[in-house]
Amino acid sequence: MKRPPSNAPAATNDEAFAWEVEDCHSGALLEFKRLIKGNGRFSLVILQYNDLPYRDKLITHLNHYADSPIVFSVDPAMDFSAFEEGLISASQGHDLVQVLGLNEWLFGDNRDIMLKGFNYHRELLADRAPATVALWMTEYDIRDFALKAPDMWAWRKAVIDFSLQSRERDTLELAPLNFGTADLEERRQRAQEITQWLAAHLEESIPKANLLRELGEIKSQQGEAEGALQAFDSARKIFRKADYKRDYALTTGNIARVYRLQGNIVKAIDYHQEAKNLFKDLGDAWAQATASLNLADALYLTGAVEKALESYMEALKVFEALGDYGARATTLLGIARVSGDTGDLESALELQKEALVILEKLGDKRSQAIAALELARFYEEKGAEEAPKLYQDALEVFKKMGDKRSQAVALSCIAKLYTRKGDVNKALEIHKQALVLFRAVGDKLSEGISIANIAFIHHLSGRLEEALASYEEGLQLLETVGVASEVAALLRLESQIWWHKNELQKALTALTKSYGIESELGRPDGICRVGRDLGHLLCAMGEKQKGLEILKRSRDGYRQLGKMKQAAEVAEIMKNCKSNAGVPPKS
Amino acid sequence: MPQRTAKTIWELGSDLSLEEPLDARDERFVPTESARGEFSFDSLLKPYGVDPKTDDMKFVPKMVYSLFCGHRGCGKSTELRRLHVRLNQPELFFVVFIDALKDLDINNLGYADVLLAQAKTLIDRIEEEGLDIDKIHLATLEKWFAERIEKHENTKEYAAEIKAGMKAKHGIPFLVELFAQLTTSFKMGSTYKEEVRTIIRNSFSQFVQAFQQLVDAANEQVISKGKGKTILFIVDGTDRLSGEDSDNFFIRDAHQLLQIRGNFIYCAPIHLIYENNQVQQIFSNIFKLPMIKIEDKYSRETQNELGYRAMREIVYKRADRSLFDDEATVDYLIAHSGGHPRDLLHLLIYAFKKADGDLLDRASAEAAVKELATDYRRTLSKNDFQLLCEIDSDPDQTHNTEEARALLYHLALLEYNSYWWRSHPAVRTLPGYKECRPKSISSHEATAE
Repeated sequence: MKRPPSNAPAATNDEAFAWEVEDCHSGALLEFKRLIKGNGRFSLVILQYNDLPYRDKLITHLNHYADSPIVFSVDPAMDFSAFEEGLISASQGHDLVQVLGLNEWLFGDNRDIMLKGFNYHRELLADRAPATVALWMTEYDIRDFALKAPDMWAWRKAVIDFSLQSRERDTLELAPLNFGTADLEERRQRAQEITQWLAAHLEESIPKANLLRELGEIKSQQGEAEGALQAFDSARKIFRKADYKRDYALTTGNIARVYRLQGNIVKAIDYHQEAKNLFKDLGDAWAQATASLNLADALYLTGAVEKALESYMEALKVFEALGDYGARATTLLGIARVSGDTGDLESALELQKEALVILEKLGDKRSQAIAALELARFYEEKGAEEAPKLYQDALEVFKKMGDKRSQAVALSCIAKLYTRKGDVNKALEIHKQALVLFRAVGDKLSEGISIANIAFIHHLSGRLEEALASYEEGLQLLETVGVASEVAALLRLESQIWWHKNELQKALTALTKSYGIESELGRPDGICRVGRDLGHLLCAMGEKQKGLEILKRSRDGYRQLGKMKQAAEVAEIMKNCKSNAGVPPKS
Repeated sequence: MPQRTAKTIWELGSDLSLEEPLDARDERFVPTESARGEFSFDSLLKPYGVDPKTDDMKFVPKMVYSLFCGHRGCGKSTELRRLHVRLNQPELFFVVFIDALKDLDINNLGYADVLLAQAKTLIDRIEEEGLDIDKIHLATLEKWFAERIEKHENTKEYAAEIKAGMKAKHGIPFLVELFAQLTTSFKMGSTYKEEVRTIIRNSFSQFVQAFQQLVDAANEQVISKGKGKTILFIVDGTDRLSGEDSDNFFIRDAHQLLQIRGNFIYCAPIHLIYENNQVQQIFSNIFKLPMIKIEDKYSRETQNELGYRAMREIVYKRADRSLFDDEATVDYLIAHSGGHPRDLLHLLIYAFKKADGDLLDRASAEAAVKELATDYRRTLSKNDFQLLCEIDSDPDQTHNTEEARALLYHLALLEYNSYWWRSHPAVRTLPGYKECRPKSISSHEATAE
């Protein structure tokens, strides 16, 4: 896997530009977009403004929604005929004409004549200007336009208010929590403040929605999934009513993350996709990239590695173009995960280190700790000594922040370390601690994986019945949350117990199902691993030809992945198979 | 413009048009006569000798001058086009239809412009129908042109330009070309426009005589060739005139229009007929097209089912039922349109814009109403709200003031049949309206919003 370049060419204006639109106007932008889509004939849209620099930013945004936009600046000295000719000329070959300078043009004694001109020549303009004509006007001019050009006014398709409003922000809104650095006590205090404020303010408002979102995020990170969902949902309803489309989309993303943390990946993907589509509609490249990143994380969990990588790369391009280092770092971590899965450990390590350096500089402790966990995993794969300390440091950070879920993840990693070292009792104890935390935060996916880990410890310790019972429990959970990759892994482990108990048919059923899932997911590592066991079992059951076919595929797959040791193991099994040896597979 | 019923929300967004009146044979047309309350076209047709039940001509009208009025966007142009088709029959009339907005420059429109357009359109129709007008009846018009335009110091060059392009035509072909050029000049705002207007004014009686001669001769031919019982001129677009322009056209200079003996229907703005009594004295027949009636005069809660039916049909001819989550959503939009067809289309466009998914639901309908109300709020003052409140509280009372007429003109106030007024329902949702209290409460007080 090639390391993604850090100096990717800057995105063009068409691809990524900074979002400079007020939240309250995001809905209006989408409305405008809907109106001009596939129009092809005259239509009148009036755009209200009260701030020139902001208006000019919006002009750029609106132009992005058209295929061939043009700006027509009216000369204040023009009479109505000249204006009319200019407008007609501008509209030829263009689908959107944004008209500027009307305020100056209408100023003065000829105001009424100009407005009457609009009224009287309505049909002529419609006939000869086959474009969306967007008149930028002040509130006062719009009023006069409605009163003195009532027939032209009657043909308006919309009046969109892009005035800058000075919204009174509540003092509580002004000091949001820094999620990157806040510890447990700060989070509890903030949650309490917000809850008290909400109790005192029953009416729906934008401050309320913003605070609900913040509360949702606190709860989500504390593992209170239901509370988080409730808060986000309430916020989302307010944003929808107020037509704050961007905030609505951001909150949709929040909800998606909660579902992901609960292990409800299918729902998470749906919500992430909805958010991404909305941001794409709005033209908010950064938010769209963030949604791509989140979607990639979710896709990765289902084992759809190729699709996940596509999404990560999509996000990376935009973050680099916009200079968002923090988001870039997070994306690099995602790409590193995929690299690792496809066997390119070196690239994965490089990306992780780069991400960690960025996050350290930014002072985002929580993201740093998450990055440290990822890095530690790769060190562990290589047998490096850095892993235990990295895990422990990350655990401390999560404890301080009261992030139960991340604590549980760190504990699971530590437990696996003990498993590798052979201290299965310690490993079991720590896995059980992690399981309690995963259950507390309602993360069904991680709960299922935790149970599987415990099952594996039982398995290693020879407690086969207990192992089987735990595998079954884990399988049921993981099938409910619909994460196929974990189901496949568990079935493979379960099959080993069946084989050990000489219940070969049960083993075969489990392995066949596992192999089918891995093949559907298209995960080379998984196909090789399960294929090795399945091929071996088929040989042991006398179906040598079938068995050898599958083994060959695994061997060749491992070679392609550069896992020569594993490839050699499979080759050995093939040799034994041909010579009728029947050794059960290694775990 | 597509005549399809939109099956997707995007088709709807693309098709919805505020701009064009429906052609007479447009499939989207919905008959609304019975939906406008106790209303019919009888009072328009009978003065012209037409039995509205059978469309038979009971007598041939001689000189009937009518004004056809109604709110902007209530369907006047659509109905006039249907009237054109209905009356343009061999057993009825030879209709000469002038669309002043297309054929002329309505900016500074004067009676001279309209008469020229009438002459041009008549001459075009004569040529199209192959009517044979004796040269002698055309000579007076040709003479008028020769003496007044060709020889006049200020316009002889212009006349020469016109003639140069005509390649030695005579008679009707000559006049077709001549009047086409004249009206084009008027439409394009040519420098000679004012000169020609002045000449027409100064030689008006000669022009009138010439034109009358043509009209009379054409009339004879129409009858003898079985094209109709007489000529009827219908002029659409003159309702666009506002302020001084409309006063000049319909009052100050109206007697000039009436100098042509014949049968005419002119479109006029609604406020004109309330401004003063003069227009009723000038035009023998004033016909008002009221709004589609969706509420009862004395009770806002009582729906007029015929009105709702017509409005629903207007919607469903443009948007498939499947685009709405419920018929109640459609009725909600209708209720807040006030029976105003164009405002109903506005509401559909706004709802399309606000819709989140592929359906128009109650949420998008409510947002649409809010937006329409905001549009009206821009033009209303505190006093306007108070006046609307007063008018609503007592529909039997006459409120014919300048302020009320302005509200009527700007559609914040709507007129229904038997000619009572009520504020636009979208306006009634505004806080400014809700805060008002009428000074007097009538015994027919409507339920609060």
